[in-house]
Amino acid sequence: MDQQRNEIKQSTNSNSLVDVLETVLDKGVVIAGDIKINLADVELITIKIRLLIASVDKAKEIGMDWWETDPHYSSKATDLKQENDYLRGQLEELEERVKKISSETES
Amino acid sequence: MQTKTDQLIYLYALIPTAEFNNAEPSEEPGIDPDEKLSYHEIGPVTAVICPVSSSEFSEDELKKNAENMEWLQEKAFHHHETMNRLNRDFTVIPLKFGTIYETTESLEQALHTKHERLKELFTSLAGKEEWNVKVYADRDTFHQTVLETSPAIEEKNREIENMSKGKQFFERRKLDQFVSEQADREINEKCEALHDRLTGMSSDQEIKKNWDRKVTGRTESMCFNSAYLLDTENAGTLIDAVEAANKAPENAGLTFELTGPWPAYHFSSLE
Repeated sequence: MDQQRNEIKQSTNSNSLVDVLETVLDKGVVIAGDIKINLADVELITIKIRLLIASVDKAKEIGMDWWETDPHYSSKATDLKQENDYLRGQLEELEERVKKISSETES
Repeated sequence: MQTKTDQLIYLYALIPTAEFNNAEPSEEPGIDPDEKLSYHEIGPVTAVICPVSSSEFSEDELKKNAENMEWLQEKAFHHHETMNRLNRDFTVIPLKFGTIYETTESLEQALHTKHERLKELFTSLAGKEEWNVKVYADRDTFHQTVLETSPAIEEKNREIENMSKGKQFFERRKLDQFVSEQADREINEKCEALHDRLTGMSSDQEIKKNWDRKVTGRTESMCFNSAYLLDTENAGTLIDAVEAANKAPENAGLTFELTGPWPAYHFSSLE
C-alpha cells in the first residue's frame, strides 16, 4: 500500500495542473482577508498556464532552445555585453562632464 | 509580532495549537523566497503565515501579478506544496490562495469571529484526508466496449439479423445512435456506482464540475469529478476500489484517476 501511495503522490506532482489550480485557486477557505484577490475564472487561468507550460516544453522538444547552447548566440551575447559596458562607460563620462559644466555655471 | 507598514501577512493555513506544540518548527521558505514560514499562535488556533512585501502583495500589485501567468503559477504551486507539507504533519484548514492581512491584529480579529466554526472543523477533519477522483472517457473505445458487453445492444443485434436486408441497413444506422446514447448512460451509471461505493467509505463527499478538454489538455473528455473526505486508515480501501474500477473489462475506455491525499480543501467551508 505504501508503494501505491507513492505512485499516487507522484501523479499529484506531475500531471494534475487542473487538480492543483481548481483546489488552490477555487477552493480552500476564504476568511475575509484585508486584501482579497479577485481572480479571473480558474478555467481561463488553467488554460493560459497550460499553454505557457506547453510552449516551454514544446520549444525544448523541437529544439527551439538552441539559443541556450548555440555558440553563435552565446558569442553574440558576449558582444552585446561588451557593447553594453562600452556604452555605460560613455554614459558615465558624459554624466561627469554635465556635472562639471553645471557646477562651473553655478560658480 | 510587529509589522512594518510596508509589510503584509500572507495566510496559508490554520492548525490546532495543541498539535503544533508537539511539533518541531521547520525552516521552510515562504511565498516570498527571502522569508520563512512562521507560526502565529492565537489561543487554540495557530496561523501559518509569511511576511510579504506590499510592493508585491498589495491589492493593486497583487491584481497585476495575478495577470502574469508565470508569477501566478509559481506562487500557486508554492501555496499548494506548502499546504501538502503542512497536511502531512498537522490537521490543516487550508486557506485559498491570496488570503492577505494588513496586520496581525486584523488576522486575530477575523479568527476570533470564526472561533466556534474553526473548533468544529478541527474536530471533523482530525485524522481524515481528502482524495479526488476524476473519470475520463475515451468514447470510441468505450463505444466498442458497449457493443461487446451491453446486453441491450446484443438483443438489438439479434432483432436486426432477423430483418430483411433493406430494413437491416436503416436499423443498423439507428443502432449506431442507440449505442452512443447507451454508452453515455453506462458512463453515468458506472461513475455513479463508483461514487456510491466511495461515498460509503467517506464521512463527506462533493461532486464537482467537469472540466472542458481545453482545460484538461486531454483528448478524452472528463465525465466525473469528485472529492471525498475519509479516515486515513480507509485510504487503502478507496485506492483499491478505484484500482478495481480501472481493471474491470467492462470499463475499457474509461480511466479513473485518483489523486491525494490532499489537504481538505473541499471540506473546510467556514459557513
